[in-house]
Amino acid sequence: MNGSAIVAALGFGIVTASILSLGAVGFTLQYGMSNVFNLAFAGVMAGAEYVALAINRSGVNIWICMALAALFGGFASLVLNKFVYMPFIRRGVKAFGMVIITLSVWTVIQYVILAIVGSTASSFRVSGSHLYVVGAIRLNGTQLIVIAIAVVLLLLLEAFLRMTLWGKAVRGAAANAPLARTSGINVARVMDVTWFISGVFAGVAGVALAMNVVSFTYTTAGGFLVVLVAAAILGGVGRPSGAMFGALIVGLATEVSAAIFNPAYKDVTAFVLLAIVLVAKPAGLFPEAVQRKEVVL
Amino acid sequence: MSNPIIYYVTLLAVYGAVYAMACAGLSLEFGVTGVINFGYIIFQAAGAYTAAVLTLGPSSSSDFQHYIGGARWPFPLPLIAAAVVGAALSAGVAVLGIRRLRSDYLAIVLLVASLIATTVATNATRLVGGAAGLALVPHPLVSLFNNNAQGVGYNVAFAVGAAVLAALCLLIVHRITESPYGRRLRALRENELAAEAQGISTFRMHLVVVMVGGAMAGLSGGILVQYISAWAPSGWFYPETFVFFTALIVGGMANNWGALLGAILVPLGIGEGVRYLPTIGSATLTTALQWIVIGLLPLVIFWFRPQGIIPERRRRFAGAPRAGTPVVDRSLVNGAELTASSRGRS
Amino acid sequence: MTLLECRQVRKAYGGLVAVDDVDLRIRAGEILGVLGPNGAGKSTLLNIVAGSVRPTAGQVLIDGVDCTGLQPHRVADRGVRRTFQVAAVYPRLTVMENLLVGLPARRGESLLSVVGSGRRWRSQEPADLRNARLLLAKFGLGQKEDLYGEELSGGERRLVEIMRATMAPLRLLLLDEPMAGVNPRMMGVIEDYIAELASRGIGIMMIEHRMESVDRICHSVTVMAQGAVIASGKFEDVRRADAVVGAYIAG
Repeated sequence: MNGSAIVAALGFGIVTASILSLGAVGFTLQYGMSNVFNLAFAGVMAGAEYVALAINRSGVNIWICMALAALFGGFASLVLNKFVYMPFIRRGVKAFGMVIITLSVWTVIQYVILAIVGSTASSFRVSGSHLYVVGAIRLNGTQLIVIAIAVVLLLLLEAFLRMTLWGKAVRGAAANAPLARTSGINVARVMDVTWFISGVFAGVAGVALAMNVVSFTYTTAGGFLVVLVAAAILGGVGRPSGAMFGALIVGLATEVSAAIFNPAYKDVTAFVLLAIVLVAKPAGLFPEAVQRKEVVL
Repeated sequence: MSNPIIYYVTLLAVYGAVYAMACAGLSLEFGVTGVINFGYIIFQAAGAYTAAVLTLGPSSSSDFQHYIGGARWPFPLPLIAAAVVGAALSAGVAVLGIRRLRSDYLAIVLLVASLIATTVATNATRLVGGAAGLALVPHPLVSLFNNNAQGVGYNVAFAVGAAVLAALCLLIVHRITESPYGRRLRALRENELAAEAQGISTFRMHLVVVMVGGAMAGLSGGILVQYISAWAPSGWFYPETFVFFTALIVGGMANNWGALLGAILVPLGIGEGVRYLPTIGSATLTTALQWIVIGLLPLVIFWFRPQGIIPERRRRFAGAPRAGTPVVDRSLVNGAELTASSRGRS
Repeated sequence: MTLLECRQVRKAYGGLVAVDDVDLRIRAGEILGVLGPNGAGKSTLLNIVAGSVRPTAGQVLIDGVDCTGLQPHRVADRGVRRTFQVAAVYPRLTVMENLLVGLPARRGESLLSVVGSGRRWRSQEPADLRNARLLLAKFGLGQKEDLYGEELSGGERRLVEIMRATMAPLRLLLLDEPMAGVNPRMMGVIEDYIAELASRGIGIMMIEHRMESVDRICHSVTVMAQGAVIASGKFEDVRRADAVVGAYIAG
């Protein structure tokens, strides 16, 4: 084991962390708003991957495909919340039952994709890109663009949440929906916006993930959900900034451990990390202010 | 009956018994107590590996399969060990997770644990045979049947034995559910904070319940592996847990008939039944459709019949005053006459 | 004899002080009313006593034993029962089952004995049912024992919650707004019942906004505002104190 391999792994770790942070932030945004642990997030990611693939196959540049897939993810996520989850919540299904509903939806999406595209692996057509070498870190142009996209999107989100009225409404509704409602915020609208944004993040993360692993199948996004959830919980579910930090830790730790031990145990590292954190700090590294909240109507 | 039919019926009976056992345990955890154990399949798998390893004999380096802890224990010790391992592993998870996590967090963490367990079992080739798993697991007590595991007598006996054990599991769950102990479990399911205010320890009750459930899952795995004589990670991938949840949601929660009906309709009906239908399109498509149905079922049930096909029974007590009984004079309230009179009328 | 004693109990959430160095005593047989505007920290104080909120500082003594930071079920084991601000009945348990859950576990009710030797617990059931039915009749719910908790009105839920709390051998009862949402005709019954419990030597802490009830049954009151105790003593004296009047106007 030499040092340069670990440094090289740090490079991959940053790429993984970028994708992971997009996913974890999107996931946690939904949870923070609706208190729904949306396992079908992986389904939206997978859907976006195959939408991008379909467009990509007709010769469109992959980055345009990613943008379109992001839009798809946004709308899919919005529709999922508005026309599947919300009706169930209105019927009186509690947070407890919603986990099962989201798992059901995820299962359905995953296997609908299997039924349509089959189990063979697919790849995007990406134009060859230059390899950039800084010391032991070697990243290609695609990977650098992925990092840049993640940074820009996360900064945009942060700016949106902090500086715009809509962002303030999102934060207000997430903290206390009834209070937000009485202070004149249209919670339903804010919720749509939140689910749309988180779906965009799911879409981008899905396509970036598929590009990063080069060849992907209908289960790729599902497997990634494990690491994503670990990152989100690590950061204290419901907090976008915490999720970003959790993603960085998990991303780096999984890639470095893959370099040191067996790459097959990448996900195991994420889980062990999660287990340690849960034992030491049950509410995640950055505990939520509000606990035992119910699903939000 | 001809042999193939008997063989088929006993096969269905064994699978049905195994699923019923697993559903009984999960019904206690989820239906009665409200613990969302999304890693339930881990405990079945652990039981299966335990029973396999304890019957295969010591693993030697020349073997085609490698595993740790090989031994050749006589029946029924491997099955008991399977149940004990299922319970012990559940206790470990409970101690780590239940005390600390909100129930939906715990569900997700267990789901993740399930995926991770598969990853480890697949990649650690010397632990329990890696991706290929374990094969040639001996059948229990087959020497009593001229070592003919394919014979009618052995298959019928195996099916009967499995059914008896399944019935025993269902009976245990029933006794717990219908006792004051079970009433406290249901109270926990309904409202943890209120239950704790009545002196009920969430942690202790949940610990006990997942241990009982884990033992049943482990036992079911042990029986299954001794029947099919092979076990591999592909057989207990995380969605398999979801099949049991679907079974309970469809059948009806917190009652044995619901668990049994669910076990027969969902894993047995959809999972096994489909094998005997003509293949629709490719094999992949068949699998996909099967899972789509399993995924859609809870949605449909949650929407149209949230209590499942056989709903939880309303528990009435003998001697309740019924409508039509005259309103009781308050002067009688402090005397014993009240109960005597109301009992007489019901 | 002092049943409950709070010594300098404090609870701070970050910079916000919910309970500010509160001292409080309840003797056996005493009904203490805890008054104060919304957000005064009354429920937090009750939660601290019941063990569901851990105080930042201070001590809670029950029967002279330090119970600070004990888990809620451990506190309950000491004969303490509570009700919740939003009545917490079990929605899918019948009214009768709701009451029976209030009983502490007894012999023959452990997991092993319910699985192993079967129905030994049955022998106690008739007596339990009889007691529960007496209680139900007293509160006019005699014919509703088979209804699910979720099928009751808000006021009925509160009655069930109070009855459930008194099924167990009780030393100290913590009531969070027992009159809220209750049918006015039933209020008198609840008041009488609380007074009856006190006459049996049970200590009662009662958060309540309805002054008529407080006036009728409370032996003494403690008034809180912004987390701190601003007055305590007999209700007639306290209600005229300037600080109390001011707190209510401000709150």
